[in-house]
Amino acid sequence: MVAVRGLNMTSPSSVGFWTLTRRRRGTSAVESVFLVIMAGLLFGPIVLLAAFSFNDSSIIGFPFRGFTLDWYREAMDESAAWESLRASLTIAIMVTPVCLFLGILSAFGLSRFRFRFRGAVSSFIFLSLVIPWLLIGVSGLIFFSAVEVRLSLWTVGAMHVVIAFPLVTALLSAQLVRLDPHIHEASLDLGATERETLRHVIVPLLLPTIGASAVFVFSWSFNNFIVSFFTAGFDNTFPIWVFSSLRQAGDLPIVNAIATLVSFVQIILIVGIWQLLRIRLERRGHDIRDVVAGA
Amino acid sequence: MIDHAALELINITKRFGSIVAVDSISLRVEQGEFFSLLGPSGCGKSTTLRMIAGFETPSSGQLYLDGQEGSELPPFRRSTNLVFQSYALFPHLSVRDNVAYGPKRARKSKRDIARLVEDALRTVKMMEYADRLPKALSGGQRQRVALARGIVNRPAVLLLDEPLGALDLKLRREMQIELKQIQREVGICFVYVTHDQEEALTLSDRIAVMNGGRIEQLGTPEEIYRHPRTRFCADFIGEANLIEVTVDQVDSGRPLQVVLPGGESMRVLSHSCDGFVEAGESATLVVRPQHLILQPDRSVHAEMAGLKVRMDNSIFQGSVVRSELSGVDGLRLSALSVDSAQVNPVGGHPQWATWSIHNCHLVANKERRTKP
Repeated sequence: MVAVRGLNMTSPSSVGFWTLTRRRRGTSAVESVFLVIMAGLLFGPIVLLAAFSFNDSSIIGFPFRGFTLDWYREAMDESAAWESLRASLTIAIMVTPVCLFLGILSAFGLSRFRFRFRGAVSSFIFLSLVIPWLLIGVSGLIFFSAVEVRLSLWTVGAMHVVIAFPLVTALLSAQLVRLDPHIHEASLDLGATERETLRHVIVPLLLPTIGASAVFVFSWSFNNFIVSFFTAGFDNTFPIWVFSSLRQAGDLPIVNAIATLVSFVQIILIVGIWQLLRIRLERRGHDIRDVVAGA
Repeated sequence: MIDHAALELINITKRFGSIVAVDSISLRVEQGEFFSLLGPSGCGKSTTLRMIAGFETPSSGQLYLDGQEGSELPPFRRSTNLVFQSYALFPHLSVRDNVAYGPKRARKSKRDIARLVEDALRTVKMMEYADRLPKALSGGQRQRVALARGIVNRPAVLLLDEPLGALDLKLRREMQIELKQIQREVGICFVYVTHDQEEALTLSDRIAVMNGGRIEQLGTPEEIYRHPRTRFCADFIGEANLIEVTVDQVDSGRPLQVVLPGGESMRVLSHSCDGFVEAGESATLVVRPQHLILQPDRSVHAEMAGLKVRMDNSIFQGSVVRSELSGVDGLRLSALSVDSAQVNPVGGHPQWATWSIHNCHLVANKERRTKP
């Protein structure tokens, strides 16, 4: 599955864990131990950091000195943080529809039509899923300075589109390929025009996948650090703000508090959307794992 | 009122690049007829069907649906519906909504849609599954829904592309009988594509046997079985013993007598070589296995022809006994007999395989290019 790349510590991995437990059919003791160890390794550090955001000490380390909400109170006054958060949200909200648009078009083009250079176009699109983000970030920086475009949140957004829309292409093409081509023909045969077929058959069948793609794109954009770092100029996205704040040791607990808060909201949101999708799908007799994994 | 055919193809040809998939075929299918296109895979039957449905455009020729020229019409403007081999039900819609899809696109009133859908579902006995999703149905049930979805629009022609291909044998037999009943009940003309000759014989009013993009023979199942026009038809429809013979006497192109491999002469009563063969030419005699009679001695009888054979194998098949025989020049024959008493033991004395000269048919070996 393509989406494995770029898993950040907060969102999609928690989704993976959640689906894993849902599939339970009676686990052996060994499996349970393995699961606990894996979960501990994955989530232990995050939980620990979250716990330290309530610790009454500016040093992140044992022993606990007592429970406090002071860091959260101070975080409220950290205007730079909230500004960067707003920037990240704005970018993610703008990047998501653009990626869906490009992804849907390219997925349709690549899976429904046979044309010259189809292979070349396809590899070109999927290249950005394979090239390390560090390289993409650096190339973005070089490119923007070569064409003399001033770095800003706009350039960050553009780069996010570049890295995230192929994900939509991949998820949707997998789904389109799985669709029986005769379903399209059946619709035409029964008197529907191409447009009606798109509206009544193709889009409804792809909607869950489009929804899932949107969740992935949003979280990729929102959480991306490395590409944003190279192409943001003097502007800050939230991950950049976190990174730059880490250098002032005294602020660490504040960063910690904000990060905990943001992660918490993110987890709630994504798990919520996921559940919503799953319930809607199950009502129609589908399994969300088929829709997203495309396998 | 002018009585026009439900479907008429005139010299329809389809080329894909340099490959001729369908080679100038013409046929006329009457209203309410159950018509089959029968042939091995790659014979052009599916391409023909797709041209009728509108998914392929003929390279040349005319196509009339219900009396109207329609070779250029897109699928959604044609009065045809297609039942796909894969059923192609819409997975996100219930059985009811799948069947209602056509009437809804035709902008029928809600009330009419409900009535039409109910009628169609009742016809295929799927009313009680109306609210299920295709996923929750068995193969046979999906088949029924696909059929209901096809007949609900009352098309001029319902096209069926090997619709029973995915079902197991028992269910297939049941569905064959039911399909025929449904067709009679709704009175819609069915054009049925299959490679299964037994299925075509069971279901069809008429069959077009296709081979290499052409129609080899067009006729009722009985005509094709009893009087195959070509060697291919004889071999493809039903089981046949094909015996190479030499044409002996000819009367203005009509074969009168042939010489069998054993040297015996035989009078020809039934043939499809009119004005077509010459004396000394080789031809093929078609004898069905159930018409071969095994005898220990050659009984001299003017109405019987015979070959000396040796029994290779005898297989008890319940209602019949199948005998595998070999004759001169590597000729292999099979015979079916109801009575096991007349069958000699394997490897025993040579015996005679005989048949009545009324129960055989002569076809030419050279390819004929005339219209069937």
